[in-house]
Amino acid sequence: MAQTIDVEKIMDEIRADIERRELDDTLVPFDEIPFSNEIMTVLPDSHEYSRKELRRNLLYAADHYKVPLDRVIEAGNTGAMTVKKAVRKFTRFYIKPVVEDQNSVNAALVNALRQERNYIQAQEQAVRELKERLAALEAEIEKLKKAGRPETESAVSSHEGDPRGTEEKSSWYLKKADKSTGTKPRYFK
Amino acid sequence: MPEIEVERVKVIQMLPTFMFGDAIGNEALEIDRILKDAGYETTIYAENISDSIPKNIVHDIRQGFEEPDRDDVILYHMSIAWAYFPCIQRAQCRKIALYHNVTPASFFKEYHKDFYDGCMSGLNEVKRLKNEFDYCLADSEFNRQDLISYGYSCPIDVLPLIIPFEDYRKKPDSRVIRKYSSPNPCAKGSNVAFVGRIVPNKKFEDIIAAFTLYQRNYDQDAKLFLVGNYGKDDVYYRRLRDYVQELGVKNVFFTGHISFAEILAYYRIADVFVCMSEHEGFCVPIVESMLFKTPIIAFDAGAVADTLGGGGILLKEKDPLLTAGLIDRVVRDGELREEILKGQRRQLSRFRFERIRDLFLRYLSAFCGREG
Repeated sequence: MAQTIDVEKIMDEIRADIERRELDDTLVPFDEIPFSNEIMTVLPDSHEYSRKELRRNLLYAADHYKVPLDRVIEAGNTGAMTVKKAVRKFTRFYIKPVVEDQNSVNAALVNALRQERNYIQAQEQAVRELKERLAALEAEIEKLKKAGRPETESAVSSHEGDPRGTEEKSSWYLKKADKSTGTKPRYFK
Repeated sequence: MPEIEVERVKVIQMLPTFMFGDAIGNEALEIDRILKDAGYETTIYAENISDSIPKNIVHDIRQGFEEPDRDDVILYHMSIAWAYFPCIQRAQCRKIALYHNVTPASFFKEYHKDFYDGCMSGLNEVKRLKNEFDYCLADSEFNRQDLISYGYSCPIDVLPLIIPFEDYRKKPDSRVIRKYSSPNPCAKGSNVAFVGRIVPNKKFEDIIAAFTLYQRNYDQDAKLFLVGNYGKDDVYYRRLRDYVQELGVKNVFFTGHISFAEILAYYRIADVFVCMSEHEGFCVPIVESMLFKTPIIAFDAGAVADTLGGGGILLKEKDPLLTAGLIDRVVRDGELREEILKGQRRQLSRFRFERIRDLFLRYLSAFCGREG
């Protein structure tokens, strides 16, 4: 039975709304989430940063940081199993504190890695914002160039927030320079 | 054509596994009830039987299997490979396969070797048995086409799963309703739901992705209820849980195994039902959502389109942001919502218990009346 609702029309309207409102569609891809039954190995050192690998390994570490003390002894020869169970019991006093210490170190490493990840994310966000601001400033410079105004004075006025005209700005500027050491002030680092 | 009297025909249902709450088990129970009401003598045999099933209803095939007469009918629920199938093969009687579909093994390859192997051998067995049956009943047109593609040349009819609507009138869990009802979903706090076991073919990650964007862009107080059983250490479930954590989305609830009253409650509070499954032989929760007047958004895969049948909204592509926008639209747009529900009401009548019951009895009677 065919659909009576015009689904395509509704989807077009939703697409238009998404575009108009510039909605955020960033998502972590599901295939970057590790499998809990994976056996992790050390990868070749590529010297390149991979967010995917950071996420994958951090998630795996967080899931598995607590190494279990007790392991199942696989079914097999009865005599061998008895010996293994006895060994497990008699060495427990020694193994337990070692495992606990290791789990503690593992937990600290996971916490530290999470902080690193958070720092990286914060830095990435800051860089994104700076790039956006830079792009906006460059666009404004282009616009003003096309309008025929010298970019230097306009850059100065926008940078200093001085609403006065070009000549006034120059003389104001020179007055400011005179007041200091007499050397030309530096606008840009 | 000689007519076989109903009273002389014994119908023996056989299935590998009979679990409480399982769709195939429920179907077998309903068929048992229908046959008894219609005057047939009938029994059920299974190998793996959950403890909560009364022993007088389902017999353990390992204890023995009474050889059927020539006029009797074996009704085999075909879904996975079964070591006891040779019992059915040897029986000198008529045989009907009730085909529920086999989940493609590829969905389990990375998750569960046993399920992967089981599905592979299940599908191989379905293909191998193409000449073993006198008649087939398929849950959906999708399943029917599957059998035809595997070389089944016997008559095949479509018989939707038998769903007793009466059961859904039972009292829902009031605690769930009190805790999670959204008083004004159009404003905020809408409830999105999906019902189904936590298995890879149902693509829970796609529901979570769409819901994340819905919560981020449309309704920051929205809640997602994933109503289905899972194993605590199940690899797929843990991956989904990690995914939720990594996305930073809140209000995602995995209910796990819950009572029928609680399931009813979650249907009752849902403002929209979202299905992103990539394989379904029928999809009972779609019919259940229709019963509870919950608008459905579903991805077009497997038998989903057959079961939706023009009701609900069928998605041809998976785009999480578009799906999020659609969820918002369905929740807020009263007219669209009403249009969806109208289509769903029309489709729901197709699955009325009385209609499916009569269809089944007609099919069976026609089959029994044919020469062997």
